[in-house]
Amino acid sequence: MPIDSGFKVRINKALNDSNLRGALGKFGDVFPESRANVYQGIDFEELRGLIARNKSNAASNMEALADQFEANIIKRGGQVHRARDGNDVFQILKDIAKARNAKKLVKSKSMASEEIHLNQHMEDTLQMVETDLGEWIIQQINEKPSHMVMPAIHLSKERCAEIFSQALGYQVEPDIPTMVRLARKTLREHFMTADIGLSGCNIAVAETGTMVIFTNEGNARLTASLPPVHVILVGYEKLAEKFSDIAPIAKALPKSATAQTLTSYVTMISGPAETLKDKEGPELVKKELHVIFLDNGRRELLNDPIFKEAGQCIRCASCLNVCPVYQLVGGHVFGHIYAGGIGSLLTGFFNSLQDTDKVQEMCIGCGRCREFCPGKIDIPNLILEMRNRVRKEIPLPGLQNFIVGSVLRNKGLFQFGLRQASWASAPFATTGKDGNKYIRSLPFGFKKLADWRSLPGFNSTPFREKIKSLKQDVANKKGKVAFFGGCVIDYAYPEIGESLVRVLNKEGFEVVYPEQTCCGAPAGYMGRQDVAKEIAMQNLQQFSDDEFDYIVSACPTCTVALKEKWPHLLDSDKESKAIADVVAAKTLDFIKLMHTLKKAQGGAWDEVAATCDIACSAPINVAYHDSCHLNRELGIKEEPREMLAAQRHLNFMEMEEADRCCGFGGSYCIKLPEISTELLDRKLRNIENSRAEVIAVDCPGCLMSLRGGLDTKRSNKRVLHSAQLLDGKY
Amino acid sequence: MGACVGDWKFHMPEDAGTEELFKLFKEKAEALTVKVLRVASKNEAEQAIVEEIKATNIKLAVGAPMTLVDVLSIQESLKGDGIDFSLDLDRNLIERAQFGVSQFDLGIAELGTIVQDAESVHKRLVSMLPPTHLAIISTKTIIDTFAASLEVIEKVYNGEPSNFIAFVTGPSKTADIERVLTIGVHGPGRLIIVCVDE
Repeated sequence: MPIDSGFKVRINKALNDSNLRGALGKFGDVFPESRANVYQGIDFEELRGLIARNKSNAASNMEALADQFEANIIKRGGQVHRARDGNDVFQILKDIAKARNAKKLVKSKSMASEEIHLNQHMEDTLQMVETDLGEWIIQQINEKPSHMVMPAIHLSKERCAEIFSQALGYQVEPDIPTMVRLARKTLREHFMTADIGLSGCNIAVAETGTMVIFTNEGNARLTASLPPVHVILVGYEKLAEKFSDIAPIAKALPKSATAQTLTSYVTMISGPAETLKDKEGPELVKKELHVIFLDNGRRELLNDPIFKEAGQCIRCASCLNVCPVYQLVGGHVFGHIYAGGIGSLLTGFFNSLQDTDKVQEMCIGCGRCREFCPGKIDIPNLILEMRNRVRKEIPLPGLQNFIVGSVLRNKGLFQFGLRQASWASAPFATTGKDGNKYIRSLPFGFKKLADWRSLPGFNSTPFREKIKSLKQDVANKKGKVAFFGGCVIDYAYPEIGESLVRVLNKEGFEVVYPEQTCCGAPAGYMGRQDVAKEIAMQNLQQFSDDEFDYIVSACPTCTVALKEKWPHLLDSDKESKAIADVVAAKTLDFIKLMHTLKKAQGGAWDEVAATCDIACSAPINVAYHDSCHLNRELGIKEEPREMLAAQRHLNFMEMEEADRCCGFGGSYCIKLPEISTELLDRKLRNIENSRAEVIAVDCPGCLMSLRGGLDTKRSNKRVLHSAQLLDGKY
Repeated sequence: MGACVGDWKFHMPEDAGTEELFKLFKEKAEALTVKVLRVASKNEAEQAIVEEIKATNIKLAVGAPMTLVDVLSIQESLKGDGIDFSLDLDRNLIERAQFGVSQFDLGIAELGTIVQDAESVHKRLVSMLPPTHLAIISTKTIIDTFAASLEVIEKVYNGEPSNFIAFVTGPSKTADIERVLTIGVHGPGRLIIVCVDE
């Protein structure tokens, strides 16, 4: 079962954990700015393009690079082991320990060792001591890291002091410098007495057999230097072809991870350096160097035509730092061993689909991580692919599966259902401050749907009926536009569709409404690409007519479906794919179409609005809320601003965090209302704090969510679709 | 062979060691709380090291073999003040020492980073274990970028880098508790770099 009550309990626990919320929230808020500062003067797109290319080539060439790397290490006198999984690693390490009669192992941070639960499996053989401060702290309380770079970010200093007191056997005050000093002292003793040092590595260069380790504390250097044996655990995805490939990763990793120009230490190990015999010397000998190559699902990942891209990850964790959901719940909820968006992908391969099942559901698909990823990984879309694979093995629970598999799939039944919703919900509708109908509460088991933000009152006449009687006066007709309405406009906000028709008529286009059903996005986002594909097929023919100059949608999620998803879903069927490509090429989101038409007219942006409905004595203050799909999936950011700012009756202004997700996320807000509420609240605070009277949006989903939230708070602010604003319907 | 250590100063890019590069290097290192000193000669470098050790008010300092300064002369100068400047490769002694001096091979201006061929365990222990580390580098070996440092390494070792190369950028630090930056975890919390123009 994807999201069960046990998981909900964990979510709520995290949301109510003020320490966690404080630490993650503060970090999430300051990180983007510090990161931007440290990247100043660097062309990030060029840099990540280079990293992505290098890593992708290395993935394609993995076996040969691994062999080359191995040969180089052996030539220098090191030993190389290949481990298929954790069990192999345990055995290799046990053999190394036995040969040396080793008692204690000091470990510098290695996520790969966490992934296979190394400490737990080696406890009977060796004393395992974590030496990274954060890792040491969580080791004392048997917890998993909640962040890949800052494993103990979820713990307050007071909690850390308790852990220190327990571990050291005396009272330690919650003073950070004191705790750091005590950790140095305690761990130094372990370093001096350890028989084996084990570390991870960030880059493994095949050309030279060089392993590169980035640390700030300096524990990796001590791990590599004090014990007479050094074991390095390397995942196949860390392979790089050339020595010079270190440079771009060294440039990006510390900046994207902790907004540093470079970590305090970068250690490059290419062979067994000299060490003191039996720890003390005085005789100098070559260190015993072991490299363990860990597969554990990595080969499968790197050979997968789709998920190979996830191998471009350099483990900076910036995708966590900017993720609005991670910021709320942390890595113990949004994560298995590896946290966040990238974590849910790696978990699917390194651990299992079962392990990533609930974790991957946490992604709302806002796409913010993709903007920051130095490996240029399309994390949100890979998560959708992962969800699709997960759902093949672990189906959705009964009712959801029925809705996606049967209702969405059957257009007649789907439309019947939406119509029923209009009369069934009618008794619960109230008129809000902005004059629109809202459902503020629902009875019985539906309480949770409307309690935290009002739902729209469903319209009794859907747009598909309304357009039939809509008179279209098109003077100087230039062409014909097919309108893909989408469910929300069709059934909840037909007036947006009416505005769109009037505005496009004024531009010289007749608007037609071909027979259509859902765009398929909800099914796709729920991991049922099979259903999404069937739905795409049900729509495709009707939009393939040559006489359509454009296909327009006023819902960016639908636009993304037509423009990007349909050609992808229909990839295997040549004929349908060809039609889908034509449809995709003609499809534009409403605001992009308007911008394109006006640009062609030489930028006569303001020649749009009809006279406004109410007397506009003073211009109306308008701010814009970016919908995630329009902004980050379609890359449309400036166009709506340019259009709105040019309108005579509008006074355009920016609000804080305009491009932050509103928490709607389609089915997400039904699946995880706890998270959606928090995201929406933040958005509403930004809206309340702005001087704007009207918030313009291009997504009817965002509009539904924002209007609902503002109605619940009985706010005076109003939310309108761009089409309504350009139609003068303020 | 990787173990065959070449002399880095013969493989510098043509524009290494300029005034601009030193200025940038100093600025970047100081931003990381590093103390950067510049001296004209070997003698002045020895003096600077002696003064830094004396100012730290300690009894035991350690050093690894160096070519830019005469370690014996430093040892001699400190003896009068009752400070032992040990050159022994004794890891318990080095662990007890409050101050370590070692020579680095390269400076990277854009980052304030210093780079060392650390194949020698002596160099590693001296630069890692004591709470203060003083690194001496030649001003002439300050180059511009990290990428350029990789090119130098490829040349010095003819494509087979030394077994252990250390890049050090500022003091040891952590932000693992509540993301509060704290200096000096496992490595030195205090870093001093003496640049000698020879």
